[in-house]
Formats: sequence, C-alpha cells, structure tokens
Amino acid sequence: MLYSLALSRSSAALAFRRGPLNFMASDSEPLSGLHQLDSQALSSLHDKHFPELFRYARYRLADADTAEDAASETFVRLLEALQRGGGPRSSPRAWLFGTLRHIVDDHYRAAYARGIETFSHGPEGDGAPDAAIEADERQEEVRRALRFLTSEQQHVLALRFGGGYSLEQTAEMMDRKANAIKALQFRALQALRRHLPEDAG
Amino acid sequence: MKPRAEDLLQAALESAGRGQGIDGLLAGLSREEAAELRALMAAATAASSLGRSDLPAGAARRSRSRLLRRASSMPSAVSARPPLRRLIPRFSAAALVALFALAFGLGGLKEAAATSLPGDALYPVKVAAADLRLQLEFEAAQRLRLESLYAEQRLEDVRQLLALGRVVPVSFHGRVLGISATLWQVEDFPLRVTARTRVVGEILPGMLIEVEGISQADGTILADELHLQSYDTLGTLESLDAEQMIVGGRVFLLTGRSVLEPGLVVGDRALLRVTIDDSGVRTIVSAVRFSPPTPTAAPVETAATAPPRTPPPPSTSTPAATTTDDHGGQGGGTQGPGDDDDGPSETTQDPDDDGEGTEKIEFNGVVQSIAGSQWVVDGQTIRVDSETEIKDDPGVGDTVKVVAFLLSDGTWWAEKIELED
Repeated sequence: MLYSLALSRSSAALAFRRGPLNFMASDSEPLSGLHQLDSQALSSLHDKHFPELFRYARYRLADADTAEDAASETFVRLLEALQRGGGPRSSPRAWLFGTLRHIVDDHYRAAYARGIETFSHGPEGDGAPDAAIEADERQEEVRRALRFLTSEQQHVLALRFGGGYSLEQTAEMMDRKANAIKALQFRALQALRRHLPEDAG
Repeated sequence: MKPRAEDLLQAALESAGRGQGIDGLLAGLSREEAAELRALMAAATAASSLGRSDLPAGAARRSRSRLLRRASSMPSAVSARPPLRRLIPRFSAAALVALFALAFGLGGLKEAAATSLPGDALYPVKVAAADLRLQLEFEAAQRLRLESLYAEQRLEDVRQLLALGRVVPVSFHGRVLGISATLWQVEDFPLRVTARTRVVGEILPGMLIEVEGISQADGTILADELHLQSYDTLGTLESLDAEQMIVGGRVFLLTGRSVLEPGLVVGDRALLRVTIDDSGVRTIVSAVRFSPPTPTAAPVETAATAPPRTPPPPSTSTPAATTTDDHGGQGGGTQGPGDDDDGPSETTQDPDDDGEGTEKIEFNGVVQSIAGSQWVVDGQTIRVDSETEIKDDPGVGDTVKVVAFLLSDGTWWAEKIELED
C-alpha cells in the first residue's frame, strides 16, 4: 500500500487519538522497599509497569514471546541494579523504559551478529483472512523500516506512537526537554518515511 | 515568525489526534512544505499502525513469578560494590589491615603481589590494595591520576596474561578501537563477541568500556559482558546547579565525585566526560571549558579528559583540518546535535563554522554493513545519526560517497552518505 497521506479525518483520529494514559498520572512511587528487595514493593512495581513495558517491547519486536521476555528481563535487570546499590533514583518508569530500550537494542545487535532475520512470519496462509495478512505485511514493512532508524529515534516513536505518551511525558521518560523530543520526533518520522516502501501494496 | 517544521508537525499530529483535518495548517505553506508535512503525517500513520498489543494471557503472572523467584535467591542486604570488584573476595578485618599496609608500600607482600596476574592467588590482593588506595585518596585530581595509573596497570596485566596464553577470568577498562560482528578491538586486545555476550549500552568505537571475559590461549578474550563506561561529549552549558547540569538539552547528574573546572559558567562550551548506567542515566565525571585548539596551542587535555584517540582514516581518505564538533556522545543517535534541540545554535550548527583541528574525510567505498546507527564502509566504521544526510537510500553492497568528521571521542560521524552511480 502507499504511505502517501491517506488521512481521512476518521483514520487520522483513529491513528492519533491516544491521549495520555491514565497510569501516567503519578510516578512518585516509594523506592525504599525496592532497595530492600521487598517482595510486595517489587510485585507492586512489576504489576504497575509490566503491561506498558510489554507494549513498548511488542511495538519494537516482531514476536510476542520475545517481547514478553524482554519486558520480564527488564525487572531482572532492576533486581541486579538494586543489588549493586543502583537502580532508579527518581522515576522508576524512566529507568525501566531506559533499560528495556537497551535490552531491545541488544536483541537486535545479537541477532545481527548471528545473521538472523528478526521479522515475524505473520499469520499463516491457511485460514488467515486476506485483510489480516495484508495488515501483518504492512506492520512488517514498518518494523523493517524502523530498523534503519537510530535507537533513539525508534525509542521516541515507540513511546509516542506505540505507547501514546504525550510530548511532555516522553521528554520526562527520556530525560530531555519537550522541544528536543519534538525535534527528535520530526527527524525520526523523516527517516522512517525515507525507508518505507512507496508502493508497498 | 514562521513556525519551525517540527512545531508544524506537532500541531498537525495534535489536530489529527482531535479528529480534525490539517487543511488549516497546510493553507499557509508553500507547495513543497505542504507536501513534506503530508509525507510526515503519512509516516506517522505508518508508525501508529503498529498500534498497541494486548498482553498475552498469563504473561504478567509469569514475569512476576520469575522476578520474585530471582529476588528470593538474592541476599537482602544491598551491596554497592562496583563491577570490577566482583572478582575480589571479601576480606576479614585483619586482611584489610594487611591491605592498608600493602597499599602504602609497607610489608613484604608488595613486591610479590605486584608481579601477580589475574588467576594468581595474590592478584585479588593487588587489585584490592589499589582500590583501597583509591578509596583513601580524597583529592580529586590525584584520585583521577591514580585511577588512570591503575587502569593502565590492569591493561598491562592482561597483556602479560595473553602473552602467556593463560585461560582465566579477566576484567578491565579500555577504549573501543574497532567493532565488527564477532570481533572487537579494545585497546590492543582482540575480543571475541558471541551471541552470549551481554552488551550494555550503545557502544561505539572511541568509547571507554568495561570488559569482563575469559582470556584464551590464542591471545584473544572471550567477552562475557561489555559495559559502556564513559564517553566524551561537547556542548553549550545551559544550566548548572548543585545536582545537575544541562548541556545541549540533555540532563547530566552531578555527584560529589564530579570534577568541574572552576569558573565554568552558563553559556560556556563544555567538554564533558560522562558515565552512563544501565538505564541510561548520565553522570558527570568531569567538565572543563572547551577551547578549540589552535595551531600554536596544545589540544585540550587534563587529567579528567584524556586525549581522544584517532583511528586511522581509510586509505582513500583525504584528511583536512576543518572543524570541531558537537557530535560526541553515546551512540545510536542519543546525542546527535539535532536531538539536542532547544535552539538553533545547537541544532543547525555547521561543523565548518567552529574553529579548526578536527579531521574531515571524504571517500568513496562499498557499504559492508548497516547495523542501526553504525555503518561500515570499506572497513571504516562510521556513525550515522538523525543529522546525517543520507541520499538515495544506499544499502549493503552499494558504492557510496561519504563525508565524515572525526569527533572528540575518536569516532567518525557521517555528515553525508550519498549513493554513487
């Protein structure tokens, strides 16, 4: 399909009407229990953030199982960091997303080193509706194009368009100013446009 | 005043998010600008098409169980041991007294321990003594000198170890000089990197990393874990307080160990040495006022900022002194100038505008690999970020023309990569 602007008002609204997620309301969680590896504090933190971490990983990774592993590994890294006396200093969410970003990057780096293609095979032909196959192919094209972007560009697109975080929320999570995120988003979309097929469908 | 392109894009995204069209925004634009905005919105639609995925059934439970199992197997006491000390056993108070004596040259152990190598019984004593000496040094500049000295000693230990062909665990800090899929060059050591190697941080040539691995009889090191330790970057100091500084739009934390040049003030060009932890939190090791080198002045070099190493340019290169730059920083575009945007001076700076002393190369070559922000063209590793102009979508195997600059951290940043006919 052609990625030239097919923005009817309804499709545009569908694509972008993802206001701030309600769980972004507060990130001021107590950190004390974490450093004692308190199971209740860890469980609470895990249950609060695992779904959004999974969604981020799934946005960047073609395979749901790999995304689940990556999100889960993020919390193991948190444990290891806490054990070393490190870990989040203020915002656990920013720390978790920063760590997950590196895990996803490492996944692609390792796959590249092994010469493994990291795209999913999509729904199998038998019984899969044409629309589902087409949608899956389109997603693969986007993921393939995303791999040409820098890690930070992929990160900002995953947060903005995958997670639906606002400019300000993304800035906070990336430890940047909102204007810097705006510029990064602009360049990320420029780069994505360059690498998307013009007549993919 | 005409709005910036990124502001227009954001306004269009917000408008689309409200279910409104972007015709009103397009009205005031030229045909080219309108086409560009439409194309970016199409890219945004594509980016949104990946959408959000439902959490698989049981995924959260599985992950929570894994987390709690792992937590229960860990001691509850929080340890603040830095990674290099993982190889060192805990010592009794008596041993600490002995170490104290050793650290300051007292007692007969010193000579014996000084010649020990990784794997030897006395090697942990040697490392711990150096570490204790560091802990007891409170003067920042002297501490940095000692750190540098001990780091060089660790490298020499590894050199001797490899020459002897011993197979033992090693841990050291070094600068990355080359990266390929399976073989990295760190200092003068070839590192074998496998799928099992854990790489933490976006490591690029020129950066300082911590290596943990096992020396091999063939003179290589099998890498177990590679941690980005620090990198150098340059930018304009935007704010400074007791806890943090903002340079080029990015926040850097300050600790009691951060060394700042006296008199460094907002508005100065600052050369930073930065450490970065697993989550990407950046902490200042040192910050000095940056003055571009002149033909008669020595390059900026302090105890806190070791001189950048210069990888050999490709044989087809034609180095020419042209510029300093703002493109240092963590790899993967994390500190690209375009990403620092909070003012046109940082985002649109022409590298040729800013003094002299940094090399520029132009050469034609074949693209051998593309791995995210890292391209290899004719054996030369080149960093690409959001500011790089890439024309005609070259791919692996294509012949391209490259214009690149040598950055302060020793890496080459591509200003332009163009497909050649």
